[in-house]
Amino acid sequence: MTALSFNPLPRWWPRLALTGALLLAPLAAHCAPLLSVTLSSAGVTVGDSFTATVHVDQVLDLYSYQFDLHFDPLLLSASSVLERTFLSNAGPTIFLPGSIDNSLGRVSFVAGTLSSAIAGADGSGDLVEFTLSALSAGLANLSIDNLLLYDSVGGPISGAALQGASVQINAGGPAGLPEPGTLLLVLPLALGLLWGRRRGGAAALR
Amino acid sequence: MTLENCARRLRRVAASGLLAAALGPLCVILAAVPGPVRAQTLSLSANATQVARVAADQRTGALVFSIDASTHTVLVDIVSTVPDLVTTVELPGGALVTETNAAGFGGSFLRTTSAGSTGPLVYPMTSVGTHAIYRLPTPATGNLVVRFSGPAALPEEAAVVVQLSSDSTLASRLFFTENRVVAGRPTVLAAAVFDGRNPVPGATVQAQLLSDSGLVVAITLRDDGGPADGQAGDGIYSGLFTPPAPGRYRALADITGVAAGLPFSRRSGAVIEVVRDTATLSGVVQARGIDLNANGALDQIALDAGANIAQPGTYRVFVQLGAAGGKKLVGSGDKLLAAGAQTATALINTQDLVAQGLGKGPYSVDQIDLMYLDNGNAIPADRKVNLGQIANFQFSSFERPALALTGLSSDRGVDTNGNGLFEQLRVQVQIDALAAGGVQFSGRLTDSYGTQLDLYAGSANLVAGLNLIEFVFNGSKIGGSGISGPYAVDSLLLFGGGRSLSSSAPVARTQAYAYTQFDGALRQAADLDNNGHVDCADVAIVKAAFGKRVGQVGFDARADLNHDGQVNIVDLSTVTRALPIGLRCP
Repeated sequence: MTALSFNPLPRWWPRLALTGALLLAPLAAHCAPLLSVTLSSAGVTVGDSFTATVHVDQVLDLYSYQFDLHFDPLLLSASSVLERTFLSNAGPTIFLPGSIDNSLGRVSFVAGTLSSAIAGADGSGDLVEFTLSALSAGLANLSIDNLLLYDSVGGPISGAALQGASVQINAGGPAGLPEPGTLLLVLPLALGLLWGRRRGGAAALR
Repeated sequence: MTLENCARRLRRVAASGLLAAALGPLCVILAAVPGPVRAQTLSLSANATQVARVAADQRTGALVFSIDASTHTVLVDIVSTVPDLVTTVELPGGALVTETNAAGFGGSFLRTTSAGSTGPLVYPMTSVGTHAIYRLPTPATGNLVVRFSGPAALPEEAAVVVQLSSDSTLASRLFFTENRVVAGRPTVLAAAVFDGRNPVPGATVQAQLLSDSGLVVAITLRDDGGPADGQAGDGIYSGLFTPPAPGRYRALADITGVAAGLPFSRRSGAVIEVVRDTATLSGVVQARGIDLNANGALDQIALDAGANIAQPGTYRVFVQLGAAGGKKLVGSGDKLLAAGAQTATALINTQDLVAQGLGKGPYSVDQIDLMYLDNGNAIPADRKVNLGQIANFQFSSFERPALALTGLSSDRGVDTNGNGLFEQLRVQVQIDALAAGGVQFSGRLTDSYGTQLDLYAGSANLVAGLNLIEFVFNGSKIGGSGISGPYAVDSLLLFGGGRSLSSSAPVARTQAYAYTQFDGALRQAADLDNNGHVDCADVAIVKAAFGKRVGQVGFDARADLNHDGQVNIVDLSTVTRALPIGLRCP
């Protein structure tokens, strides 16, 4: 009669398990939501309107939110704030578009919340859409701050990462005429090339 | 005049459109009975009855009924004392229904024997005899023929009564405008004939009245706007009937006509009781106060009603007094009256007036009923209504106890600290005191379930006459109860100076307060406007203050639910989370 036996785990198994746990730990942290600003166009011309959409990624049980949007008031002007569908897909919502202050470059107290005792929204989607106009040429940054996220039982959703956006605003004018900003970028390169050619030519003369 | 009243009320029937508002075979009339005009509901029925005979020399017979377009189902009851009468029904269109094949036509057949009542042809369904009852759908308009055949050897002649009841909207009802009349005085017999909501014009209504003594009187009822009729063409066919002698009279009307191009016939019955002419009220009422104990205060009010007595004897008179607020009190009195012009007197105790909360008046004489007492039976003699007001009496002139409730009270919530909620409910109760002096009093506040909310005891110095004692109840006990008003003050005990007054019944009823109006109300934090429920108004409060910090213009402390000094999404979502499922707020 043969006694049944099985192989015990190898002695290195605890160390492997610990290593795996340590490797997987960052994945849990990675579940914190990300709020980002996406633009309808990365480059616009002075006088153009474009939209900036606040998008949320990887959120669980989002019931309500509030934030401010900041922008450069010398370059941009906000004109409207609209609720997008991510939250309203989960149930009836109440949306507050906040107050636009184009002198300070700020849309304050933008907020939205679900209604009644229902579960919050899961996943990713667009929360709010801002319409802005380009006032002057330049690189304009848009950012989010004063962010508050709450779940369906009133608990805060913390650890959200924020990611703003930049828009390149080009001056208006005849096509092909370099804009001052572009000249500033190209000029050092051109000067460098000229300096290099001169040095090469001098060496050849020697 | 009774007849004028009847005619006027019948006109009101037509003018009011109440009949037109009737549903199906129901109609509502303003009954023209003596007394205050009141609405009555009459059910109209689509019945038709015909009678035939079978005998040895005539074993078979047929009766024809017209089926109109609104008829979908008929109930045919063939009543006879011949137990083995064979019956058939020929439907419009010619289909022949027998006692054995009714189910094949979507109907049914039942043969039964009834012990019945003494009612004659008016209610054949309850008549003695064998009933052959068909219940049949009627898919077409036209004639429905009921055929019957007796056995070969009929011992004697027998009646065959056929009543056809249907769901037709063309329906009728015979009625007297008074339930009981005096012999020798005319009354109105009327028949309502309607097709759904529409009066049926041009019908012929022949009524026969049969008294218990066998007297038969024939009357034609007309819808012609004549003396007995209110308005021509209103569907109410009327006629005058003057019963010659006391007793019960049965009326049976045969109603025939044409509606929607088809002939119809209906039969309806009514009964009236006729009493003998004993006395007539003159309509004059005079009031006088009676001081029984000669102490200068009135113990009773005597109401003397004039009457012309035809039958000497004992009479009982009832007088109904009305006062402000619809309160009523009835007094009565018996009196032996000789023939001729007499006075019947009803008495009302002034203490009852006070106790019933009728106050000092003025009082109106709403109704007087005079009854002749005949060996213990009260026979109605006459009735008069709405006889106007009697002389006003001073409340202070009434004999009354040392302390009495007048039935008046008032109440108000009091916000003592300006927080928008009532910390107190103050209830004032009016007391009539014969003499001045200090009293102590107590009472409890109860909710609509009779549960005690608070108890209050206080004292007051009363003046001679009318006083107000005030109960001050704790608002937080009301708010904490979670039960909304109206509330009542009961278990009153008032005493002092050798006099007392008590009442276990409510002595005051408050307004319909919401419990949330009171301090200490158990309410949801999200119910910002304190109306007892969370709704869009609460959302609006937060939205109006959204983004504001304490000290800023627009900041609303109610909206700062977490008391962090600013109104933000935390506060808004606290409210929205408490909204009822399905409620959408802008």
